[in-house]
Amino acid sequence: MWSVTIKSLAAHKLRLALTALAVVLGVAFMSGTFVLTDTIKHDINGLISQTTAGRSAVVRATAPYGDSSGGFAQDVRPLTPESIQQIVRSVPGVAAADGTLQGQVTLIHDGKVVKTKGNAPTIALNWEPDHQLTSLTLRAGHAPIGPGQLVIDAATAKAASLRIGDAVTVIGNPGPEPFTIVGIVGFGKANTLAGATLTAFDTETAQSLVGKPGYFTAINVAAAKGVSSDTLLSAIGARIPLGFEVVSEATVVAQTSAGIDSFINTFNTFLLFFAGIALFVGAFLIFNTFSILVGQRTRELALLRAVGANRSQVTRSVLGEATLTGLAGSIVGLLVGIPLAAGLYSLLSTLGLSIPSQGLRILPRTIIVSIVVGTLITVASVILPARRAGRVPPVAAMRDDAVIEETSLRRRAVIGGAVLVVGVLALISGLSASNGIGLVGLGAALTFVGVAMLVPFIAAPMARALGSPLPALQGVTGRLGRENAARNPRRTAATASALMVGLGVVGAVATLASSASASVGSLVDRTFNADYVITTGANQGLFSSAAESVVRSAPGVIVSSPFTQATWHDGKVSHGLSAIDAVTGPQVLNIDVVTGSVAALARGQVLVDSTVARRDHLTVGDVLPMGFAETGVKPVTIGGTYKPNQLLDSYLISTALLSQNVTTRQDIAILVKTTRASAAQQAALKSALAAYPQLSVETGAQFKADQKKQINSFLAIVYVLLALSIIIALIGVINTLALSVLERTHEIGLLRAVGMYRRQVRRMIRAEAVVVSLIGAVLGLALGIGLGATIVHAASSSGIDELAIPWRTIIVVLVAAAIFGVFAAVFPARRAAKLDVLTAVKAT
Amino acid sequence: MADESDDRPAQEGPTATPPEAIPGRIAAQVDDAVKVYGRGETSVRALDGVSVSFPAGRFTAIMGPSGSGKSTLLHCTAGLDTLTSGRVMIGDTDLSSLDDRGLTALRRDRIGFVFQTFNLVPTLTALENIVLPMDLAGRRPDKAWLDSVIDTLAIRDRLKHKPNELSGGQQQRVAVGRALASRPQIIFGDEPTGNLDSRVSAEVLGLLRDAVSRLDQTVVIVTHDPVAASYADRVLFLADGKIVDDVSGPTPESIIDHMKRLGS
Ligand SMILES: Nc1ncnc2c1ncn2[C@@H]1O[C@H](COP(=O)(O)OP(=O)(O)OP(=O)(O)O)[C@@H](O)[C@H]1O
Ligand SMILES: [Mg+2]
Repeated sequence: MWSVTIKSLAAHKLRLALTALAVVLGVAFMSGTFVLTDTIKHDINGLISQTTAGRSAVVRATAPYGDSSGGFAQDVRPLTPESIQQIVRSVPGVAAADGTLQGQVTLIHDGKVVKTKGNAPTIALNWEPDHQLTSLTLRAGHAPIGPGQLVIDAATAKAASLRIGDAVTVIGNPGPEPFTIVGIVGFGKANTLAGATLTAFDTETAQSLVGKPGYFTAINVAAAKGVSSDTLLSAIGARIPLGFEVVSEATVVAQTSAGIDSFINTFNTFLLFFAGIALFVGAFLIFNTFSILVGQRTRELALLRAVGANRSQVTRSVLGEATLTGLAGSIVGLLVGIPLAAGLYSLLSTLGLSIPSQGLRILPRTIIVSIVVGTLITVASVILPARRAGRVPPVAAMRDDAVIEETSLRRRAVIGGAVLVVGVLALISGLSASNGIGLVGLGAALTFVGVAMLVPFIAAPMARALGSPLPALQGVTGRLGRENAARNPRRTAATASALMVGLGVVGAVATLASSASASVGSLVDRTFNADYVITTGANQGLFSSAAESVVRSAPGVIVSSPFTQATWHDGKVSHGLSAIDAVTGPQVLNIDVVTGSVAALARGQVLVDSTVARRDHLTVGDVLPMGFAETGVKPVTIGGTYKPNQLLDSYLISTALLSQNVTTRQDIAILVKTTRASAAQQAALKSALAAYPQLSVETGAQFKADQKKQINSFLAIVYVLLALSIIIALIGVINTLALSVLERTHEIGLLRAVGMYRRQVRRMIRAEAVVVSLIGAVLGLALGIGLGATIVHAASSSGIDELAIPWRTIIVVLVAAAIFGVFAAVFPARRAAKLDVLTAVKAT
Repeated sequence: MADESDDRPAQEGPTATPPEAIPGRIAAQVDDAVKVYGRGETSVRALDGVSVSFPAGRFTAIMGPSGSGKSTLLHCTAGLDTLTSGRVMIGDTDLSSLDDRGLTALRRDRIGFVFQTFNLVPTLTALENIVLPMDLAGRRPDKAWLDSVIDTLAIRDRLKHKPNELSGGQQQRVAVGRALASRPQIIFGDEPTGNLDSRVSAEVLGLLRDAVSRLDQTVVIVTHDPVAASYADRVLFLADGKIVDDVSGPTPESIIDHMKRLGS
C-alpha cells in the first residue's frame, strides 16, 4: 500500500502543500519560540557567569522566605552591615571582600528621563574598589569618587548621546540630585546587562541613593590563591553571625540563572500558547482538506477496495499520506522556525535587549518536540477522514453517485454535545480551582471542538441568515454564493470552525480586556476621592517617594497622600498588602469599613478585607503575625475590616508601618486633593514636579484612560500573536473554496454557458467566502465572549469584577471577517472565472 | 468588491430584445467554418469548411457519426467555442467581433441551451433555474411569456423544487423552460434527449417542436436518434467535419435511409 500512498501524495501536490503549510506555520512558531527563548537564556546566563569570574563566594543575609522573586530582581532579604565586610576580610583565605549595593534610580538628562528602548530599569550599583570582584569594567574616564560623580554603561551612553563631563540628574531616595558623568563602563565584555541602564557611584553615594548608610546588599568575596571553594566557604561560615550565609559563586550563578530562566520560561509558555492555537487551527484545516480529498477520491479508493485492499489498508494508506505530509511539514516548519528566531532575536536586540550572542541554541528537545507534535497533530486530524475512507464500499468503483456513508448525524450530535459538556465542565472547574490554568485550556479546547462538531447542524441556516442581504445586494450571484455556503454544512462548518478558534480567542481576550478596563474604571470611580493621581503613568519609569514632599507644598494642594503596595508572608505564602497614609489616606480613598475603624491604621494596626476576615476567622482585636522579608515577623493587631476593594488588596496598613519594615519604601502613586480642580491647578502641579519628568499628573478620567491604554497595548500584542492562527484559517478558507470550485466545474461551466460573466463568477465565489467567514466570526465571537464572560465571572474576586462586552471589537471583527472572506476568495474566484466554458460543458 | 458595475447591464449591445422570428429571416449563419484541434501531426480537423444557415422559426437536427464534428459545430455556433477560421453570425452579430464579455452576454440574452445532462444549477429551484439568464442580466422576465412557457411545459407544480427532487424528464423540461424563457433568437441542444427513455424523450421533443410551431422559436439540436431527428423540419448530416446531406421534412424512415446511404 505504500506505493499507493506515494502516488496519491504526488497526485495531490498542491492540496497537500497547502495542508503542509498549516503545519509548517504552526511548527515554525513553536520551534522559533523554543530557539528564541533557549538562545536568550543561554546568552544571558553566559554573560552572567563570564562577568563574575573573579568572584569565589558571596556573603549575604539569609532570605527568610526563600528565594521567591526571580528575574533580574534581587531576592528580598535584609541588608548586610559593613561590620560583616570587616569580619569577612579578616577570614584567612580571603583575598578580597567588597560590599556590593544594588538598587534602582531614575536618570535624567536635559529634563528628560534617560531610558532604554525596552523600558528596562536603570540600575544603580556601587563602584567596588576591587576590580576582580565587579562585573563592571571601565572603558573610559575614571571611577566615581565622592558625591556628584557617576559612571554609566556604554550602551546607554551611546543611545542617549551622553559623554564624559555631561551633567545629569539622578533621582534616588533623597530626590533629584546633580551628577557629572566621569566614566563609561561595560558589563564584562558587553556594553550593558541585557538592555538595562547601568549607573555606578562610589559606595557612600550609592548607599544614600538606593540603600542605607553603612549597609550593603551583599559582600563579594575572592579567594586567595590555592584556597578551594569548600575551604573558603567553611572558613567564612564559621565566622559570620546568625542570620547571614555564605554561598559559592556557583550557587549565586545558579540562583540568578534560575530566576532568569523562570522569567524566560513564562515568556516561552506565553508564546507557546499562541503556537498551540495556530496548530489547533491547522488541525481543522488538515481535517477538512483530507475529508474533501477522501470524498473526491471515492472512486479511486473504491477501486482499491474492489481489487482486494481491505478496510484497514485503505485507512492506513490515508494515514500514511498524513504522516508523510505532517512529517515533511514539521521538518520544514522546524527549519523555518530557526531563521524566524534569529530574526526575532535581532529585532529584540534593536529594541534594547543587548546581549552578546553566542549563536542560536537549537536543543534536541526543540527538534524532537517540533517534529513529534507537528506530525501527531496532522495524523490525529486525519484519523476520522481516514476511517471514512476505509468505509468506501467497493461497489462505489462502478457507480457514479456512490457517496461514502457519513457518520450518522445523531451520533455526531451526541458526541459533539458530550465533548462540549465535558469542555464546559472542565473550563468551569478549572476556573474555580486555584491552579487550574491547564484545565481551563483543556476545557476551552474541548469546548471549541464540541462546538465545531455541532456547527454542521446550524451551518446551513446560519449561512442563509448571514447571507440574507446578499441577493438584494448582488442579485443572483449573491443567492448562489449564499446557497453554495449552505449546501455542504459539514465542509462549511469545518472551514468556519478554523476561523472560529482564532476569533474565539480574540473575543475572549477582548472581553477580558474590556472588562478589565471597565473594572479599573469603576474601581477608580468608586474608590478615588482625589482630584489628581500622580504615577509614572505610561512612562514605566521608577516612582520617587521623594516627590511627595514637593507635591504637598505645591500651591492649591489640600491633601497629598502616598499609596503603595507590598507583600507580607505568613510563613507559607506571601500576600499582597496596600499601605496608605494613616491620616490623609482615608481622605482621598473611600474605604467602606465594616467593623472597627480606619483610625486603627494610625495605631499601627492592620485592616483586613471582610471576605478574607470571614474566611480566615479573623476579628477585630486578633493579632496577625505579619512576616516582612527585611525585618522578620511583626505581630500586628487587626483594627477593622472593610468591603473588598481591588485597589486595596486584602490587607491595609499605614505607610508608616511599612516604612519601619523596608529599607526603601517604593511608592506607586500620590493622590492629591486641591482647593479647586482646574486645568491651571493641574499645570501648577506639573510644574511643581518639573524635576520629576518620570511622573505624570492625571485626573481620575485621564488615569482611567491611561490604564485602558496599557491594557489595550497588551491586547495589541496578543492580536499580533494570534495573527498567524488567522492566517492559517485564511489558508483553510482558500483551500476549501479551491477544492469546492474544482468539484463544481460542471456547474460553473453551465453558469458560464447560460450567460454568467467571469466577474459574476468571482462575485459568486466571493459571496460564499464572505458567508463562510462570517459564520466563523459570529461563532467565534459568541464563543469567545461567552468564554471571556465565564472567566470574568470566575475571576471576579481577583480584580476583574465587571463584565463589559467589547462592542467595538465585535464590529471590527465582523467587518474584518467579511474583508477576510473577500481576500480568501481571490485565488479560488480567479480560478473559477478562468474555467474554460467548453471543457466544463463537455465534461458532462 | 471592485466590480459592482456589471451586474445589471440591462441595456447593452447584444441584450436588445431579439426580433420576432420572421420566417425567411436567418437566425444563425455559419460561413466556411474550420475548426482544428491541436497542431502538427496530432491535429484534428473537426470542422472542415462548413457553411450553413439556420432560418428563424425552423427546427433543425444535426446528425452524423460519432466524431463527425456535430458538437463542435454546435459549440462554435453557440458562442461556446471559437472557430479556427470562418465566420459565425447570430442575427446581425459576427461572433468574432465579440470578446468574452460580449459572448457571455450573447449566450445569456440571445441563445438558449439544453444539454444532455447537468442542465440545472442544483442550489436553485426549478423556477430560479428557468429565470437564471434573466436574473444574471438583472432583467425582469416577461410574465405573460413565462406563464405560457411554464404551462406549455406542465411544470407549474414543480417550480419550487430543487433539481434533485425532479425526475430526469422533469429536469430536461425545466432546461427547455430556461432555454425558452428569455425568448432567445435561437436554442441549441446537444443530444437533449440522449439520457431519456423514449416516452420522456418524445415529450421533450414535442415541447421543442411546439416551441417552434406555436411560439415561433428557432431550435437546433444534435442527435443520434432518427426518431428524435424526425421532429425537425430539416436534418443536416455531418461526416468528417463536412455537411454531406440536407434533408427537409424528414421522417424516421427517410432519415434511416439517408444514414444507410452515408454508410454510418
Ligand atoms: N478538445 C479537443 N481536442 C482535440 N480534439 C477534439 C477536441 N474536441 C473534439 N475533438 C475531436 O474533434 C472531432 C469532432 O468532435 P465532436 O465532439 O464535435 O464530435 P461529435 O460529432 O459530437 O461526436 P459524438 O457523436 O461522439 O458526440 C473528434 O475527432 C474529436 O476527437
Ligand atoms: Mg458530441
